[in-house]
Amino acid sequence: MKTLVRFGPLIALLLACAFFATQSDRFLSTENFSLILQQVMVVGVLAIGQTIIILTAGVDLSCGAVMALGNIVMTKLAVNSGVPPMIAISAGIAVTTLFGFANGLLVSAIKLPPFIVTLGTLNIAFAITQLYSSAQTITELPAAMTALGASSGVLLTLALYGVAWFALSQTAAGRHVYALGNDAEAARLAGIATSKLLVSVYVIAGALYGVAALLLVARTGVGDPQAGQTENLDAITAVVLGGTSLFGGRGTVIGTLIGTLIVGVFRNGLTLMGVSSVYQILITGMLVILAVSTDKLSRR
Amino acid sequence: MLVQRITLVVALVLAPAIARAQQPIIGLITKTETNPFFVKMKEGAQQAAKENGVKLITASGKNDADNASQVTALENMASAGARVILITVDDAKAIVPAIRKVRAKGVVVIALDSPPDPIDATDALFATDNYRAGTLIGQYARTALGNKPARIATLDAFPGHPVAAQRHNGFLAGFGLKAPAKTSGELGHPAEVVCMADSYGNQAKGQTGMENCLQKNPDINVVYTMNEPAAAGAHTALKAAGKDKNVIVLSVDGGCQGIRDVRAGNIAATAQQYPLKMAALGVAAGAAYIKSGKKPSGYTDTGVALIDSKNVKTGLELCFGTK
Amino acid sequence: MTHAITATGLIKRYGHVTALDGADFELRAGEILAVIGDNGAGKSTLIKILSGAITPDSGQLEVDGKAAHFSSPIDARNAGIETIYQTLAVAPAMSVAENLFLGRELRRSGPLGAVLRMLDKPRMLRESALHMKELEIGIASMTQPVETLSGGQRQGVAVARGAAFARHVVIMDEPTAALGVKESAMVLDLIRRVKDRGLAVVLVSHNMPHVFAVADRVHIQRLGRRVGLFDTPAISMNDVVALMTGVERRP
Repeated sequence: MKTLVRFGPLIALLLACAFFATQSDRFLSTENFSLILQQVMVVGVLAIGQTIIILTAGVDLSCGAVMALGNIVMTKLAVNSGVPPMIAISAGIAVTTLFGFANGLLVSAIKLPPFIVTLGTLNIAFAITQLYSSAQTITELPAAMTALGASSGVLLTLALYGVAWFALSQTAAGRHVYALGNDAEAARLAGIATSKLLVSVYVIAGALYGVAALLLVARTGVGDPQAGQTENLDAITAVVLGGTSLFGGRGTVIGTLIGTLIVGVFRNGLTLMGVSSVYQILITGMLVILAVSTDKLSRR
Repeated sequence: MLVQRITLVVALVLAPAIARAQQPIIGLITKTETNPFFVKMKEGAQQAAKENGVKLITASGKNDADNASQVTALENMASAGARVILITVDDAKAIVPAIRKVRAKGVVVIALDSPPDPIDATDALFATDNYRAGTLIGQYARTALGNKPARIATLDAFPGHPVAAQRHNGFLAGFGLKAPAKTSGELGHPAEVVCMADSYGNQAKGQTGMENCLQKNPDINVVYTMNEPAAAGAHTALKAAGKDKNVIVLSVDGGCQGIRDVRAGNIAATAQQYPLKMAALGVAAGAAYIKSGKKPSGYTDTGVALIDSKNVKTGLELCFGTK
Repeated sequence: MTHAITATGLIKRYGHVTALDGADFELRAGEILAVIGDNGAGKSTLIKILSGAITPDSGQLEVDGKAAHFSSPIDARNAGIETIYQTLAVAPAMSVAENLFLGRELRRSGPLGAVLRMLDKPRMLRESALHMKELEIGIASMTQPVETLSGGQRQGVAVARGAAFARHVVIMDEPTAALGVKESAMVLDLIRRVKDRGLAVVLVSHNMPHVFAVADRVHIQRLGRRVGLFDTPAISMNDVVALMTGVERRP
């Protein structure tokens, strides 16, 4: 049962791939897989931030909205205000990191439930995005902003996953994140600076949302104020499908990568099969229930 | 004496405000606050309100599906004394009880852009005929394609979106294919449609949908998109696959960014709709009712026009959003 | 002989409630001192001050003859005092080794450790196994999650952690409270082995038989003060309980 839980997401992914390979001869090609990776990289990076937050038994409902704000800030500065692309990008990431810091501060210092805090920041980020952009898409971006569009973006995403994996499993700070989520009091009594750690987690997540914004800009070639609206839940879905527990302290970031891929593979595979997207929504829902149940049952 | 003088001055100062306060009130409830479509609508309503000597109060939902805020707005506006309320409904069915309630209080409710379900839940409807919008671009696509066999991809919104269904089915009908009836919420799927994907009206998802469809059928030659952001996403995907020159992309809306995309050749043709006209006609009808007591009724088609590379200039003059 | 810890005149108030009313404390190096007292006597407040979890409103504290001020549990740890809380303070999903080294993880030598801050997991596993062996705690695998262990084994992990890092004193808060007979006996043996290592043990317990089974001396706490400090052979359980509950006063 334990091995099933640990490798469950991977098995699900492989089974899905095997199934779709039988349904369409266009599924198993490097071109198609490369496409899927490009399609999931934005949510993929969001989900790294979401993973570390969920590991602390928190949740971030604002990730997509903050990313959208980031993508508008960086593009509007570059196009409308003539700011050099690198500085505009940094400003966008700085804004998303600031939101992360605000979330972290409210959760750790004022001890408000993450669900409620991030629900608030979700609305605030969304409103600021609409106002700042006048709900208009920003086009004609400088070339530097779209450099990370395809394979380089995917490589960056995979590299970030690698770094996250190393930090979480091979460093003390990473293990402290798990301890914090598993038993915050134990972590505190063990001498871990839990408040500081919690804020750092949200700050890092915020920075990652900014990187996701850049990847989005690179992929679509525009600054889109309507972006990120479904991504809030998409990121959480990816984390849950990857086997990370919403109760904190358990899970891996590689699991999240697999969870992200599962969603992308299903969307791609079902489209190739000509199956209505309603079924994709249905299947995703069933997989989430399956993932959460398996996690709970394995700990009986 | 001094008191009398002061009272006179105060009265003179307040007179315009009082006069304004005694103007009849018309309310406008849009789906969202910031979508350029509704910004244009609000502009048109404010202009028409001035011209017709009525006071306009406005409210909106938080997003495309926020029924609750619209219900609250209906109630608040009725309490505030609005004689007429114009509304673009987020949820065609769910808003009906609230509409009926304020109508029972004697308020005239006019639907703009999106019909309620049932369509006669409001006194009148001023809207685009979305089915017709689809038909226009369908006809255009058929002509543009010529004799070649059609391999159509559709980028729709998401399951259950009625406006998207009308545009989609109208497109099929205009193209000359078998399509569901005008009132149907089902998306038609004849054999010529080789791929259907959901874009959620969103550029990034439109791009993903187009990429996956191209994987399925590399020989797609016509792409219907439910709105211009989705079309922009489709274009990015087509360009990346080197197919942007050979594929005909159609869309609906007529926003300024969309018209610019037509000018740039990213969209072959789009059906432009007129939110300003909807609002203006709605306010005028409301003002007429207040003056004469004659209630507006029925459905008024506020028109769609086909914009392609030939009449881009007209399109840009009438578009909504940042010019 | 320097005492491991001495405290005089400790006062701690919470609003209108006086938890400690001029309490004294004395712990000899290498002894097992049981701290007993009824609920509300100020036992846990006293222990929290010694472990650095709270600071007294007034009073003196000396560790190893030198004045000490603990503003956090880390200060107490740095002074060589380890505390094993009643809740054990272990992260259930994490392994035995990880819990043992929680907050004090070992890093690899060289650039891997210094620059990449990579943990030396093999070394932590080895050392954990060694600590367990020395204290004769029967846990098969250092990688198994603590939540899969029995109550007594979990207690063992917490004690091993305290004993591994303590330099002078290990404070144990109700170590046998949640355990059955057999596991309690195991833990009492464990406490003796901790003493054999040269560490002093402060044992907070309600359980008289357990106290008298292992403690060298007993500190009786009542109404915010120490009302007695006796060698366990020199006093009976009944007298101790009497002093604890204030039934009879003995000079």
